[in-house]
Amino acid sequence: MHLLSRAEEIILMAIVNLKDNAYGIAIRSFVTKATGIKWSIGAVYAPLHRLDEKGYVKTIKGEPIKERGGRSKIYYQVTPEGKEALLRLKNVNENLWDKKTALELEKA
Amino acid sequence: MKNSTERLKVPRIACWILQKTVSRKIRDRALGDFDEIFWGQAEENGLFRAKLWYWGQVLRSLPPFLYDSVYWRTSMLKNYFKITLRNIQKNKLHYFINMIGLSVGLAVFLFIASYVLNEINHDGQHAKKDRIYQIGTGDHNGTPGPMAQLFKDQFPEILRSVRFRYNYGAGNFRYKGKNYKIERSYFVDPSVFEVFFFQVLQGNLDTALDAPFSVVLTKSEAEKIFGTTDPIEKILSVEGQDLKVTAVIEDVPENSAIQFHSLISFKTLERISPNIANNWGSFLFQTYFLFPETHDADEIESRLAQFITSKYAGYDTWPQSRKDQLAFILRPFRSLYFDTDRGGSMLHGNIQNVYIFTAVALFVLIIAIINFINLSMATASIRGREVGMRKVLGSSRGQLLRQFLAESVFLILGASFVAFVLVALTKENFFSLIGKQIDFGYMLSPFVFLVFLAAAVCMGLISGLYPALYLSSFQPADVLQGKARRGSRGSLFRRTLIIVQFTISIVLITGAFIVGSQLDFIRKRDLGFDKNRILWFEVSDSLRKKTDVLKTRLKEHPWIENVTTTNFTKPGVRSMWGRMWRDRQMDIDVFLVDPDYIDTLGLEIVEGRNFLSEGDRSRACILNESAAREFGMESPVGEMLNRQTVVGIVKDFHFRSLHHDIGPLLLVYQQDANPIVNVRISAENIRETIASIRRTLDEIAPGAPFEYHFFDESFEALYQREQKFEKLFFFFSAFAIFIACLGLFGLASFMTGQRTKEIGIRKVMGASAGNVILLLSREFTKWVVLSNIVAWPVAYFVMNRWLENFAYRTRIGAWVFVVSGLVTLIIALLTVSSKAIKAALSNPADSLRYE
Repeated sequence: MHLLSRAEEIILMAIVNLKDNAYGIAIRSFVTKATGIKWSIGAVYAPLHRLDEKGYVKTIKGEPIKERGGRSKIYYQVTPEGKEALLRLKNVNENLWDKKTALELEKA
Repeated sequence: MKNSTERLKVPRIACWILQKTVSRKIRDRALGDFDEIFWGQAEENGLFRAKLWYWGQVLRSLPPFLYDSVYWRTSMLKNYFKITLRNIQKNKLHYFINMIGLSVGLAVFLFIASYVLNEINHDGQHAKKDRIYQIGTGDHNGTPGPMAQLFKDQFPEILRSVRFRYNYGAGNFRYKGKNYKIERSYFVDPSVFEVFFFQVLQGNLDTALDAPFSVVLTKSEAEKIFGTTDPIEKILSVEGQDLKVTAVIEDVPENSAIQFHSLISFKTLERISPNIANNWGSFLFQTYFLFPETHDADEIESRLAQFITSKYAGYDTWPQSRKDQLAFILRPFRSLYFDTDRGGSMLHGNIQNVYIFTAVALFVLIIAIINFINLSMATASIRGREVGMRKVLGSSRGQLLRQFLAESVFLILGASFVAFVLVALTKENFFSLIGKQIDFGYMLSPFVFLVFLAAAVCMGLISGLYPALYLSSFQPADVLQGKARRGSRGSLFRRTLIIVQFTISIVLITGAFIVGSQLDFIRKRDLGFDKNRILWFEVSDSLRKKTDVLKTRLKEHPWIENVTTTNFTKPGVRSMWGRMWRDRQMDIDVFLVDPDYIDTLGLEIVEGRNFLSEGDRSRACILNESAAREFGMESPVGEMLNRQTVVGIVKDFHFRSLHHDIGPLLLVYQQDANPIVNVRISAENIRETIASIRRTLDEIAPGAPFEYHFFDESFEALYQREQKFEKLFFFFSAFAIFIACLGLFGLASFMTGQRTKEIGIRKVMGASAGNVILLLSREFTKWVVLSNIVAWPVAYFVMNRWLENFAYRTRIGAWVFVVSGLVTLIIALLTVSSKAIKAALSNPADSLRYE
């Protein structure tokens, strides 16, 4: 079973946190704020596309909007498979990060 | 409208770049985001800042977008690749046949392409080849020795001049008591290395040919004589002269118009025979001029002509034949390689072969592609379900097209790899087939490799297109239900393909038969003399004065029937003189012969008499019938030709190859100094006879080289090209039929697969196995017969043209066509019958249960 890549994990977490407002621009500003790194639009969409193909997210089409050149907003939602993948990753992270390792790293 | 103005304000080029790079699935979403943020920026910071942002963002986003779109595209490719591999595993035989056809086809194509490229890039090493011209007259490339210097002084455009003089009869080099024969050695001016380019290995080419008695050897000759020791400064003796080796150069490439194995300094010739080097009357030198970068050869040529007319007082009163001798023209060096032979020249390229090979290469490629198409189509019954399944699962027709195209590209790339391996393994056989070594070095250059790769991909696309269109057109509902698909007899297109394949094969087979029968005709033709059991060899200058002794000694031998000396080396080499009878001037082949010539060869005197050993001397000559006829002599015996008296007429005989008519021939009496000895030996004890000739020679002139040839073999050698041709034709026709049969086999399996149910029903209704086989074979027989009808006129026309190369030719008999037609038909039926028999013997219960 493949694990999520870091970028996929971050994006997926952003979608979970944004709940009903998870569309491109919102996701991008969320991850930018969360990571402190400026994400280009491409850097957001490449992992999103992969998540989509893998079936970890699904999309809901909104109404067409003038500012988007008449295009619709596409809202993302995490699917059960996506949730499962996230939880699996969380498990892995916990296995790796027990309190002792974190403390040792901080000390060093 | 606000909306449209907004759209216009988005930087158009940046937007276009995005549209081209972003994967389709996320394109709208991403572009929407771009627009939305752009609009927000524009309201906040103004349009200019917004545009800057847009551009910056596009550039930053490009790498991930590009990665994304490449990733998804190749992920589909990966799937196609996987499916292809699975299909190959499932249908090993089918793909095996397909790959064999393709890779053998490509290998043959590669060979021929390399040969053709090699021929077209002739003389590639000579950087100045566009500035070099050979001077000669209309039908001759010989010029007098002093001419080069005269023209060079007169015309400033001539930067350098080089003279080549064939070192006739002196190819016998002696080193440490052993003799070595070096073919093609030339006396040449030192400027040869300034005009032409030869790779030096040892020594200094600037000074190598400056001194008299210097010689430059090619690598292989130097190795032959000196082995591993250093050849420089070593002394070789030639005809009693000592020559010093001053340099060694790389072997001259095959595809060069200038061919030699050793070069001897021109000063050597000036020392040993000054009367030849400075004689205006002997046209024995090939002369090359080097002109500046920009030059007008036509203009120089016309000034040459003016110069000649003004140089000679009374030029206008000369007879035309003498004027012709000095009517010089300039031939571009780069045209020489493919030029027609003017006697004694070094060239040996053949443009006709290049054309024929190019045509054959294209034929082979066409056959291979057709084969590939037919075999891909034959998979239809296997692939139908896959196509149906993919369509049901949402695959578009475009996607399927791409899949099948990708698959054929995969296959062709694989076949190319196999082809490269085949080429590497069989190149020696190919070289012996065409009688030429080809340098494959340039095939390894990345450029050629890329071109080949691109060509392979294009070929994959071309040959994959039709099957892809056909396969992707299946209706899922039909194929998944197993309904019969359209075109159960193979579409018109595919029938045409098979017919084209067979037509090509039949043309090639017929060609092979006709070439074979012409060669047979040549072998059986009565030449007018007995060419068998004649042995000839060349004697060195020193021995020529003693030919009388040699002849008497040889004649004493019981197994030697007759001995004669002549200057006529072997058929194919000509020496022509101008001869005048009354007011008729004619160029005529001349043999210098002694009185034994007529008897030794077995010629027939039809009028007058043979030469007399006593009394005739060099004032007597004999004509052949053609010569007497062409001069228009009524009673030739006793007539004067220039200052020689005609003493007899000899019956016409073929002294040249059968490509040519028997032309006029003049036999001139010459008792001594003939370089060639012809010996008629008896049919028994040939080996001992030869050994004793060698012994006799050694007694008269110790250490003299003895290299003998048989007259009939020398005649045979005139048809080397045709013999090679015959081999090639058989090879390619066998190949073409093989491939065509592969295609036929594929089609037969496809068609029997399509008609499984029909055959089942027929058998249930009482058809016998024989009936079914007949039913299935009838179709194919029709096609092969049709191919024959198309091929016969083509073959007849083409081969008739080829036969026109010969003055004496066989008739194209009807049997040739019948036989080649039958051969192809039988082979085709054998191929089909294996499938047909299998289908006919199958249990109808199995085939009908199909549903």
